Amino acid sequence: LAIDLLEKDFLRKLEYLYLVAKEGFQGLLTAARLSKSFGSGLEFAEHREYIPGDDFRHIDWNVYLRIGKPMLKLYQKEEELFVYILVDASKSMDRGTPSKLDFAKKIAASLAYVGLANDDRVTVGSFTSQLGDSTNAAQGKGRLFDTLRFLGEMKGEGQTDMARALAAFLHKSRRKGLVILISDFFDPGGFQRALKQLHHAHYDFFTIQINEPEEIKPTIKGDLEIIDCESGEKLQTQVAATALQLYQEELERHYGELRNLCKSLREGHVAAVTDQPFEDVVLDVLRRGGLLR
Amino acid sequence: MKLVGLPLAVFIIALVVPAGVVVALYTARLRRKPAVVAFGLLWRKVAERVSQTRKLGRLENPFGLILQLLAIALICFAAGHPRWVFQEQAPLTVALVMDNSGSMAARPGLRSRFDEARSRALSAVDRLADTDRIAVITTGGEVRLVRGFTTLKKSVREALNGLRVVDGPGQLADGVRRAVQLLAAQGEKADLRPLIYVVTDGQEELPPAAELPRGTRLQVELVGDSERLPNVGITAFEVNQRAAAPGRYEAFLEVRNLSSTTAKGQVRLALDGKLVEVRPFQLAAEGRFTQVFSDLAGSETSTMTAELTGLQLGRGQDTLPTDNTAYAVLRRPAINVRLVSEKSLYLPEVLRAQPRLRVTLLTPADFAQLAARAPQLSGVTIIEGSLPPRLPPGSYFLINPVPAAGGDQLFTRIGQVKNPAFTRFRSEHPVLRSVQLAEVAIAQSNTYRLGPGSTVLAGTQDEALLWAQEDRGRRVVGLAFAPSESNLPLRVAFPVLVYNTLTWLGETRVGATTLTPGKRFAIDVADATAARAVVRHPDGTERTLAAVGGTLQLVGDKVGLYLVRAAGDTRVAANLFSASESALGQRPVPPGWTSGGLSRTNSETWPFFVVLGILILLLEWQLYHRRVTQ
Repeated sequence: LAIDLLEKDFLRKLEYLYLVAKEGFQGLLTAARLSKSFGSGLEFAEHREYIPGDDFRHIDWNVYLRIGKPMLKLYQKEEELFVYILVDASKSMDRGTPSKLDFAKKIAASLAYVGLANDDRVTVGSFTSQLGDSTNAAQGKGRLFDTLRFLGEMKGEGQTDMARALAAFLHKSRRKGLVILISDFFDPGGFQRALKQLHHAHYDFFTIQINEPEEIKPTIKGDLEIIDCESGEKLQTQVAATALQLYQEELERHYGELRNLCKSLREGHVAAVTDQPFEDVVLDVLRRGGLLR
Repeated sequence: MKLVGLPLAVFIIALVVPAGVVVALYTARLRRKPAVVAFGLLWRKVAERVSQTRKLGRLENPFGLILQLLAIALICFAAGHPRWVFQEQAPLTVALVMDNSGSMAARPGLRSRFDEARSRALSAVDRLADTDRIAVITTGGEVRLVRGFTTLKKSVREALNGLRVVDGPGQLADGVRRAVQLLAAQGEKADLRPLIYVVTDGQEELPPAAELPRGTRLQVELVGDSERLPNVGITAFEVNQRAAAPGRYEAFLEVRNLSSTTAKGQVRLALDGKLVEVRPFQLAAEGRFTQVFSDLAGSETSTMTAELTGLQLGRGQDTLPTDNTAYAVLRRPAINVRLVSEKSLYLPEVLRAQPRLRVTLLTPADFAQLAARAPQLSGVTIIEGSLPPRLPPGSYFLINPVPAAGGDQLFTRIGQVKNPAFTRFRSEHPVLRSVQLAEVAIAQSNTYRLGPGSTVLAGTQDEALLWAQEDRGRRVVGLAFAPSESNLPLRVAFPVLVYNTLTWLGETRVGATTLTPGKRFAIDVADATAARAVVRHPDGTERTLAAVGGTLQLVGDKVGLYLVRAAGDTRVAANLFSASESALGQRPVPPGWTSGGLSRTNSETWPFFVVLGILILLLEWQLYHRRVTQ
């Protein structure tokens, strides 16, 4: 295992995250997960006249005293939330110290824990150029260790083809829900088509962009043979101050497109660098809201 | 600038080839460092954008290339041996006078004075232009022309590297005069640019600039400290057979402290290598210690050595080992003396008092006959008064001489002077050893215009009263006045002066036992028919010398004992015995001389270009790695 997600310290952090999430983001965690059908949930919806056969326990006696008719108090029915955490396990994620993949695993584990603890149906899976393995939709904190084991065995290899992988996901997934994409979004085919097809399939999604410091501010210089870690393609060029500046511009343009797309689709986006504490990233994700409804 | 070593066309061709190679290498630096990245597509876009702004690739921003080409050009230029145009003016004609006298062996530190002098001279030669002509003269013992004028620096360097210190007195003034003669022999070319460049420790006096030709640059480079170096040395060591006791000898020794501090030590006297006696001494600054070792048993084949040991000179240490040991050969054969005089009042008595001298009296008429027919005279001839028209080759002590009109004159009498007083002395000369002339009163003396090869030994500021002269086989000591016209015969100095003179004149030939290092020394070998003789030097080396008519010319540069083998062994001792060489001080540079290293405006410029080229290459290397080219 590249990292030990079952380690005590890590588990302690997960617990901490959950507690923080529960205290600080309770509204977010409970309020928005409302089904379009009415039922016996906690959230008041409306009143209607009592029809024989209705559960008289739901009669609003206060209203009956005011208007003299038995009125039934209706609540919006709470529904199970399906959360799909998809981690990019391509070779480009296996770079840096700690590797982006390890960092992504920790974030995925944290979010999964928060979801499981809130009785969401959490599925964790990987993707590269195709959809990888995934856990079964789990519910309850007791399923955490299966999730962690699955994440621990995840390895970074292969190329990225997000559109193909997500098409397979859509084909396979039967219940709509929230898709959390954790990736560096270094996809030669582009991430736009993948995200748009998620959106068009009425899935909510949240993108977590992971980079290592060397990608944000590269230090390579000189006459170089640049090798793509996934495709193995080589490029001979001279890297000097100008080239580094142009790289920064291209990188900014690349991720700018990602941010703008997420904004236009009204989906969430967070960027993180592996030299940050992962718990800060998780809290940031939760704080920005929109991840769990 | 002008290229001396390489024609311009060749320079351009030589530049083009490496420049082409550099350009080719610059545009195709094939060794690239691999760099694995997460997303090559981004870098491909970057490379495309970079290439859009650089149509000529690497040549678009060729700062590094320019630096490389500049460095190559500078190095090629240096190979062309560039010179400033003004440097191509008339070359210098340099007479390099190297002092290699005994004092140059002083070793105040790790290097001797002579090593330092040689180093300075070599450095000066390097600074000279290839067109400059250089001659090398040494002044240790005798003046020698080591290398005639040449433009080949390599030859001059070899000559300088082959020089050794001669453990004898220096002849610096004569060396400078020889340099003047050499320069004069080069003609009166307007572009001669003569320069006399003397490298010395400054112990000997340089001739005044006024005596030297105008227009000659006079440069002296002094080596060593201006402060006096501590030294104690043996300045006299003489062994004589006792007249009354054949087979018994007595030795006279003089030790001088030529330092500014007190000195103490001991003298160890050894006979044939066996210690005979040890005497301690303690000397004040400038003190003198004279001792007589009497009743020494020895034979004619014996040698005696006096050595200073355990020397303590204040905080310093003895810096000149050459004069710490003196050698003597016991064999002191007789000197034949011919006294030519009408009526000499004092000389016969003085001569009779010396058992080594075998005196023959001759009238001037008899001697004139002898001189007219003899091709060469052996022994020493003392002539009082008038000289015969011809003086055959030989040794002469001339007293109050009056040259014959129209004769073969060594010098010319130009007049007389009344009451002259001795005011200047060359006290280091063997003739004046232990001779005090300062208080001699003279009623009247002749004045002379001295001929070539003369050295004034004592005299007034303007006139020579006692001189030595060597000219065409004749070795002469001249006394300008009659002893009877002075109180000299009444002074102790008179017999000492006569004996010194006869010894100096007589010991140059048959039976000599002491030579002065660096001076040519004639030895009559035992077998007159021998054509060769083997000489073993003090350092153990043996050299074969040709003997002509039973005489061989020996030049020994080092102190010690020389063994001449030719049908029997003859030993000769060589000693420094020169207080002026042992006193390790420095005289002031006389007016007209420029002190300091030889500065030549046309020194080599190529090292500068090479260094500049290398610096530019280093700069390019640094820039390449720091990537400031963009």
